[in-house]
Amino acid sequence: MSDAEAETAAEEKPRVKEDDAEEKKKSEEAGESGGESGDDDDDDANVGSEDESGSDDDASDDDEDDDEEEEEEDEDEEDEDEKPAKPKKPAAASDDDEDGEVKAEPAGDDDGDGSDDGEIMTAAKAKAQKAAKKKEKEKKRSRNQFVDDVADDDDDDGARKRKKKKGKKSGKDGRPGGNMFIDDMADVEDDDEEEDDEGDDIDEDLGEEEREAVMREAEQRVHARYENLERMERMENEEELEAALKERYAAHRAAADYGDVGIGTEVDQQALHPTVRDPKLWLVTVKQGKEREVVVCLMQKAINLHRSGKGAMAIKSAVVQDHLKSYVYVEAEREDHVKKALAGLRHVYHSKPIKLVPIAEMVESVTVTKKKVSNIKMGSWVRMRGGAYKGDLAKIVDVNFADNQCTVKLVPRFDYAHLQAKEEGTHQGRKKANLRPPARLFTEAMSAKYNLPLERSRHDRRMRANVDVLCGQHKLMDGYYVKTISLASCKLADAPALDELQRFSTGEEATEAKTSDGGRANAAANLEALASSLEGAAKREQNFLPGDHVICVDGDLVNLTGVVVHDNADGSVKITPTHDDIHEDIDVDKQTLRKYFKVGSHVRCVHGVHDGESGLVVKVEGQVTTVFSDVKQEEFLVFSQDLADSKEVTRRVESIGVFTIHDLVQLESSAVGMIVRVEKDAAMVMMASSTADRPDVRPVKLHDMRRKLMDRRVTASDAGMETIENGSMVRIVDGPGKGMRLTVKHINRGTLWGKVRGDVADFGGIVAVKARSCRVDGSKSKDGGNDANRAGGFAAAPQSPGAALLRSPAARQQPMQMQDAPRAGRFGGGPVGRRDNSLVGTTIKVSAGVYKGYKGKVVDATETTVRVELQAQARTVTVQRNQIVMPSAAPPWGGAAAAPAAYQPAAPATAPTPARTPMREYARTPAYGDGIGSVTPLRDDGAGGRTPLRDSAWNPATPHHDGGVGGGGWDDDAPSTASAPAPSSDPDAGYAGVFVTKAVVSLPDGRQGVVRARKNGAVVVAIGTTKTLPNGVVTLDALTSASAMETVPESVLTLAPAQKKDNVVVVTSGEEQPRGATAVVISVDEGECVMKMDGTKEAAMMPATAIARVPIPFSALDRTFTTIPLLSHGASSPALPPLVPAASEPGFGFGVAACASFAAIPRRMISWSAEGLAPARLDASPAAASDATLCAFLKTSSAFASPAAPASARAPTSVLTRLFAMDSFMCASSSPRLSSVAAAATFAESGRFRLARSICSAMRRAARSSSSSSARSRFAFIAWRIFSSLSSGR
Amino acid sequence: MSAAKVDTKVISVIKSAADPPLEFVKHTRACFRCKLVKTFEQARFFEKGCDNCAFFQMNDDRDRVAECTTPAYSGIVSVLDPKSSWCAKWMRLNKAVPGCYALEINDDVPDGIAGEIEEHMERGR
Repeated sequence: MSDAEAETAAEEKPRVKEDDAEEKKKSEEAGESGGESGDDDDDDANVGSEDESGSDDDASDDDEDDDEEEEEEDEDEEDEDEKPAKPKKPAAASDDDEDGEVKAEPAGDDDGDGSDDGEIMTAAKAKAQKAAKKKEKEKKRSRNQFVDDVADDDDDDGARKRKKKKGKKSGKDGRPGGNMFIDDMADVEDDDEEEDDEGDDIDEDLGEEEREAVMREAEQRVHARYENLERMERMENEEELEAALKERYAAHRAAADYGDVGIGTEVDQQALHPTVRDPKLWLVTVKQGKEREVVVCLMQKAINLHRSGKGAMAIKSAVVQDHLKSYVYVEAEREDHVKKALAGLRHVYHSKPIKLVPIAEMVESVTVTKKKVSNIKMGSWVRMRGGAYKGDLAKIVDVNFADNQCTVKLVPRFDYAHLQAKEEGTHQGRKKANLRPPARLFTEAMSAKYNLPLERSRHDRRMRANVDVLCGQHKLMDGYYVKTISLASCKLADAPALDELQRFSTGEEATEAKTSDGGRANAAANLEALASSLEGAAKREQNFLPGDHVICVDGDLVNLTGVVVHDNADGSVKITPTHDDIHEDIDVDKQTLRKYFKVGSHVRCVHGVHDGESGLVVKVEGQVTTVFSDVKQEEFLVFSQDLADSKEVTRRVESIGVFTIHDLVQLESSAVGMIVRVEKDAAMVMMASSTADRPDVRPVKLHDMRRKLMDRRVTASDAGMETIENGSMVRIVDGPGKGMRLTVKHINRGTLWGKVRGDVADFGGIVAVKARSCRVDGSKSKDGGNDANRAGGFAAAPQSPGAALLRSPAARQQPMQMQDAPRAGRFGGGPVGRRDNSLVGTTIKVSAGVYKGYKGKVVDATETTVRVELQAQARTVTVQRNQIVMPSAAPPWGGAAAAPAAYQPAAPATAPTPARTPMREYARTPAYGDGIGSVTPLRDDGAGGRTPLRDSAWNPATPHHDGGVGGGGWDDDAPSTASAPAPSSDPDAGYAGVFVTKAVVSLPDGRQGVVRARKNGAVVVAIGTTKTLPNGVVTLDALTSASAMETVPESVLTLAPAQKKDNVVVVTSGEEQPRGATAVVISVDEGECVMKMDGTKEAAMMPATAIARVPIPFSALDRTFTTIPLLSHGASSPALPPLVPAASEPGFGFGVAACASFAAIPRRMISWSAEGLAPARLDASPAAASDATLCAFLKTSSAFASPAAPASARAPTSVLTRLFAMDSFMCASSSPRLSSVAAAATFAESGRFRLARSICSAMRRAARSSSSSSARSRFAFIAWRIFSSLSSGR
Repeated sequence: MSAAKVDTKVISVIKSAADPPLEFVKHTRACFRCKLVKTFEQARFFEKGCDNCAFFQMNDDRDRVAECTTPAYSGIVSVLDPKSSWCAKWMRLNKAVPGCYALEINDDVPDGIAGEIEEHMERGR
């Protein structure tokens, strides 16, 4: 029956497509309904096969299904194309039923129903009877597209589908009830099976097709539900079916996802972890701040595309994480899907690469750790974010989330004058005051004073209360300003401290003005109310620490006190009750506990304005504790939760911003006062209007202080027209405070601020008086006047430029100290001291403090401090007397016995080269120093005499073993050479001849050697071995340990002719090149050498006689590997055995030589040890060694420089040094470019990167033009290596 | 499987999509149950209610909207294709309509609303 219908539908399909749209739609409906029944049959068969024949059969079925599916694919597509237009609602389905226009329709529908009924019966039976209908199934599949739709699902899936439909059918009109339940059950099954499918399908290659099929099927299911509603009504055996289903799905029920949308979380989230089959997440870079916009735009774009019919995007979803700046995730199968979807979107950085998120990180990418955000609600305390009220506390009186607004109650900061100007229309020219108006509660007096219109008791709809309206716009309520603001312009405040609440409750000024007892009582009375209001608002988390005393304020244990033992993780606190009958520790809920302080205990405030102050508890009233401050000697009120037990007395705060206590400051109002006390956020300033008995002390905020006044040299006139100076002692002779004696600290416009002697406790004994009512202490006035003048003169003429810049407190007190020691001492407690001229003029060294290590000349001294003019900096500083070290017993300058070392004239030996700084030595490549041996002994500035630095030049003539191993690694000029000049001086100093030390010279007999020293016209020459170059020139090959020393008259010696690539030094000053300049010979042509100067990098031409060849590592390496020509240093380890025996072995010698060479060149030495060298032996001489052997060798050798090498081998090396080590070996067998490599490395080492790069470029060019391919690649490689390390390593 | 086919597939799903919030950051609220993010009025909890949770009956009822949705959410995921999207699956939105959803609601579900959801679920059974 249904077979036939299905067939009809399938056959109809092509024809239907030519029909008009409506018909198309309907015929499809028909086809679908027919398909459903066919499907059901098929499923029955499947159920049967599943139960009977097992998985093998299934597998074969699946194969067949696949084939069939491919055949049917096109048809399916057409079906899909039409679907969007297809109505989904059940109503539409029923319309179709009633519509008789399409011939196949009614019959198909009816039949479908009939068959469904039958199917349900079959379904129930199928389980019981386990009847197999395999053949039938196959037949249907070949004909029915709907069979094919699910053909790729496994049998179980198909069965599920059927069940689901049955469930649908059993419902009536979509009315929720038992049928819906079944439906949901089926959904659950869907989930499970879809996941199963995914697991099963991994080995198949049908990913997209299958997904599509699943998708299609899911959609179809939605349609089927509604289409079947009608038919469901006709269901008779609901109960029976339900029972069957229940039985069958009982197992799945536990894991039922009962919701259609993400509510149910009973399915193990674990099962939802991404698999390789899932779409991937891609990380896309977008403009910061536009992440959400991009994600939402993607959604909108998808919809727009759909609406305009231009197709859709292939991406699956887009995710934005709030905490992830400038990135969004896009879920898609492929990267180009992402790109396509993002095309044309603003704020996306299209040029940035799209990165794939690894599967393991996908979950993390879309997971947010849920954090509880407390929302602004009625009664919350908030702080304003900006504007005149920035930071002010406000209370929320209304929230309107819809408009994103809230109404807050604030202590107003009205600029009444400005309001008035506005009212009068004269505000145009008047800029709004720059100052923030003070926060104080509004009173009618203010509106009256400024003549501002005030409308009383207007009913406000939003507030549902009566408000006063000032100037027609500012709503006021009980003196508070009621303002509606954006939710974003305020932020939730954590529980405000008591003082802030106080300020809020009484207006800011009220707290400060509450000097009278009555005001204070009122404030205290309000506190409890405030505290209770605080309870409702966001309460700060109370922290209880072990040892805290607590009291229970709620619950059964109310009023129980105890000591905290432990703060449990679950929000309770274990306490030891202080109760006679309770002997066990008990756990108490944190919320019911309050900190409890006994009267008399010493506490510290940990929050609020009094933060950091300590004091004694004098009164406890509920939550409000009265504390008597240690510092201010005043009481203050604070919540007990803001207190902590403390044994310590907190230190006084002495500065606010740049202002320190006892500074004279000018306020924004141009008034002048002296800071007499500093509080947390304000300074108490004693104004000039004060009198001795009535101090006018005002709290001033930091921003109200304009500048600090420097009045050191300001004077005033006393009653007798005597000059009062800073530090003078005066007596009040008139007016209030008559008879007081005070030491003047500040003077400003006839007002003196000074410290009173005796026990005036207020404000640290500071009083302000008019200068005219004082008289300078008589005797002091005369005598001290001279003294002071002298001191003043001293101060007026700073000894160094730095003196004028002095800012340190010590420095400020300087004049006082100078003026009159005893008086100054009493004043302010600064360093006390008498002038001590004995030290002035001496050179001392600072031994402690910031200036530790500095030396300088004493320009002034007291008993406790000295003023030192530093040698190293153009400053004069004050140093404690006990922090200086005398070079000796502090003799006066010029004392013959022990003049400060630094001023001793330079030793004669250094005189010829006074301008050469030690630095230069290091900045140069070794070649220079090696060549000329021009060593500048360093001046040693140490106090203990002078030790010229030992010759740091690398001495070629002295093999390192010769000089003894135990030295510091640097051989001096051959100690074994008796004729060596005194080590303390430059061997070439004062020598004008051509045979400079280390020059290569030829003896008359053809032997060659190196000049070691000169003595009375004779030259000591270390004789080396020679070899003959291919061009026939005999040249010095190497010096060995056995090199003989010969003393030869200068007259018989000749300079060895320099050859190409030799390192040379200019010994006869030319037109441009000074003596001593070093160079590398580029070419030699008929007695003229073309050289590249090391210093200037310019080519120069010199006569061959004007230059002397000096042995240099590079060229030595080029020429020979068989002996150690040049080796002296690097042996920092005393244990290093002499290398000569080893060096006699060819391969080893090569290694050592090479190491020596490369180590020497970059000047940062690579030390190496014997054990480090041991593996680096070559069996053959390098010339004979193959490249492979060399490579192996260099690998081991390069280990010297690697971190894994023995400690002794790990000298400071750089990437380049190592590189050079390797590459030089690589080049060794064909060495022509070695020096280039070396040069590049050297320049890079010394920071001349441009040169190094240009050499590298040259090497690359050379490599390209090289004839040998292996050489080409090698040099290209080396150049590349150096290049890359130049760019990456540096 | 050509890209065109995928596209057509998606179209059919997109058709039922919930309107994305037009304002990107401000004034958006998320449904307590399905986390659907929309603006309050323009898009439209007020106009249309929640596309997934029609039982909330939020449309044209400001108080209901305020009750059933919350501005305290973090992260947004635009689900274009709930059926095949892994994100949707992970967040259990694979049966929801396409649209913008919150990654996480940072607010407690009001008791009344929680009860309603529960009730709806029960009825669903």
